[in-house]
Amino acid sequence: MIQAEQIFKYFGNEPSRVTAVEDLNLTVEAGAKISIVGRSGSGKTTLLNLLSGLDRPTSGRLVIEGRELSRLNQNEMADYRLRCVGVVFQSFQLIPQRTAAQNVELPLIIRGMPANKRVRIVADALLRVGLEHRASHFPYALSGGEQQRVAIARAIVKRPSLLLADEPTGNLDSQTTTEIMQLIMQIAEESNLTLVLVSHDHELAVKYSERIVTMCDGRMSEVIAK
Amino acid sequence: MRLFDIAMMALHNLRRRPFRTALNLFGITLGTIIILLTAAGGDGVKQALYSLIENSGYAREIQVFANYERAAEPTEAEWTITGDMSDERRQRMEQALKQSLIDKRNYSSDYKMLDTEALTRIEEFENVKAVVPNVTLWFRLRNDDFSQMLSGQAASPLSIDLSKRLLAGDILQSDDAEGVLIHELLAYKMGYVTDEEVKRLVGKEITAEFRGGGRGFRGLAYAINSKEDWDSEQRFDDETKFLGAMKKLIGDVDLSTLTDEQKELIRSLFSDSQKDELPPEALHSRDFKIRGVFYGSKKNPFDLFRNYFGEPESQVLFHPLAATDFQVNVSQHDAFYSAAVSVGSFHDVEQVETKIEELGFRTMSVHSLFENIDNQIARVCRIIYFIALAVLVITAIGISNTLIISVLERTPEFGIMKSLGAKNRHILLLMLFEGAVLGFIAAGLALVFSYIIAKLGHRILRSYVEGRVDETVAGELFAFSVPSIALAFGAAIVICCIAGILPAWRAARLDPIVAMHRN
Repeated sequence: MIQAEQIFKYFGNEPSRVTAVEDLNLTVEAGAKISIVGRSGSGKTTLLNLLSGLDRPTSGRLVIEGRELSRLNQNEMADYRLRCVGVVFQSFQLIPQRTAAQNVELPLIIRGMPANKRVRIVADALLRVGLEHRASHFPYALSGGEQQRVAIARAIVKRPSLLLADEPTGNLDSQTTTEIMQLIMQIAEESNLTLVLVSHDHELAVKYSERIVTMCDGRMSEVIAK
Repeated sequence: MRLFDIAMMALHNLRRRPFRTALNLFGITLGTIIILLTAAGGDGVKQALYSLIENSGYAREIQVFANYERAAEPTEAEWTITGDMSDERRQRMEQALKQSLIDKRNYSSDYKMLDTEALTRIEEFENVKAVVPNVTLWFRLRNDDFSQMLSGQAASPLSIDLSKRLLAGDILQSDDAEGVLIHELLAYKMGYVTDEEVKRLVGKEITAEFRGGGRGFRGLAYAINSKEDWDSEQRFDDETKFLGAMKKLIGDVDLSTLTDEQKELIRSLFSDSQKDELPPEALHSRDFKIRGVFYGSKKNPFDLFRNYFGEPESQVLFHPLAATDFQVNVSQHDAFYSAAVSVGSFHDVEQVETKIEELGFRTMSVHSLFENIDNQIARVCRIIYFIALAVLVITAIGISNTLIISVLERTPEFGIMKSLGAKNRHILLLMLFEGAVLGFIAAGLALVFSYIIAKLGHRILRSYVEGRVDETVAGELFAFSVPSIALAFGAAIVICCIAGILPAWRAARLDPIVAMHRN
């Protein structure tokens, strides 16, 4: 469950201070699938960074899975990223020098899991995204859709309760977009994940989420429930 | 993250950049090789030198020298400068005057020579095995029809080095004052050519003729006959005749028309000043028995065990008792400038040396050279260690630079890792491990290469040293000890880790959002 109360996020100091998120209040129930839409610069990625624990709100209260993120120290925040949240980025963010399997394995290595256990879990994750036959391929040898599948496998391999997707189809063609979105939705359904999808594509949001949050100039302007 | 996984990731990252890794490895391996070889060589060469010296017998020998009696320090009244002058000039002149007085007194003070009494006292010291005065005898050797002028020396009956250079017979026994050893060349000149003939020479009798006369006569004889070579038999005969004539002349000096003052002057000049006697017989003849035939080293055919101390070549070696008897009774001179003292073990040298010095003599032994050898080796090692350290530091700067570039290159990677939950310490450890893995591999390579170089170096150095000292080098000249290997590994790993600290710290501090999106 996500609970955001009066969240403010500023970048820089006066007089050149930029308001990225302003007075945001949002509650997302566990297992819900929502989308955050808005134009470029509306603050949706900043909000996603706050939810993923990559950034902290300047003020306000943000509670996810019972953890108040603004009160966590650096190590606790890293632990939150490791155990609670999986993130799928627009540009995939794979490490080019590691194979698909090695990229997927990375969160398990960070968690300190022994190698013999990792092999099976990584194979499972690649199987779920349909890439078991591409395990030993490097990212440069994979198509955009395949790379995003690897990124999804990496996000779910640690079994998070919250899946964040930041423009996951922004670099893909329409057919691949459909495939990827269907895969994300399928995984979210199967694992009962809370899904937060960030997109500038309103149609996509309407198609794949139960609730749509529209952002404009850092403010949450509209909430549409389907 | 588990340390094993961090190490494997570090190794993986190094393999991804083979050329850069190879360059770093080269630098750190080179520095570590220098450290390893210096440590191994320093120990090994020192041990080999010690072993060489101890086995050679030099280590058990002390050279004792006559010493001057130190004169009393001049009093202040003697060196005070008076008069109107600057303090600086006065002090300078007073210092010069004081030094000149000290030098003059020391120069004119009595020399404490090694007489038979002193030699006997030294011989009675605990652990002393033999005392051999350093004396050179000039004599004519006669055997059947053979006759030649020769020089001879006293030889220690216990000489280990001499025992290794015997062609026939044995070394001299402690109480065998009649025994002599002769050089193989002399044997050849005497007509004993084959090995069998040389063996037959052992036990043969020879006659040595010494020319007598005190110091005054000897000097005069040299002066009137200096055109001939010292080993000319004609000269020996002429001098002997001259000394015989002088003896008769001194004996009959009262019959001359000289004044009493002139007669007294001649007596004082040509008689032995110590014993106040007339010169002894002009020719002394002694019989000796050949106990053995020796040969010199490959480098110097006349190189004997005391050649290191500047002794001249000799073809006949006498027992110390015979040499002392010659000095005292033929040369009429109961005093030696130096003597060689043999002790039972190398470890007794220092104690015996101290006792001899307490008698007022100067000493010199290999024991005192050991400290010098230690210091020299330690000094050279320090210089090489410094060079090795400089190589390592320069390499460390290079490694640090490489790791900083690596951090810049891998900034997005670190951002991704942090976004996945990696903590700052994981990134820090990852970078430090890269340095440590680099150091560990370099130290391993250095160990292998050092071993190969050491084996080659040992062969080359051993043949060089053995050629120089004509002794077998025992043991390895490059001795790798556990502490030296640990030192090399430690130095390589620590320096590489230190080189990685700054890049690792920079990497750990990266903001994951910024890092992920940096190209």
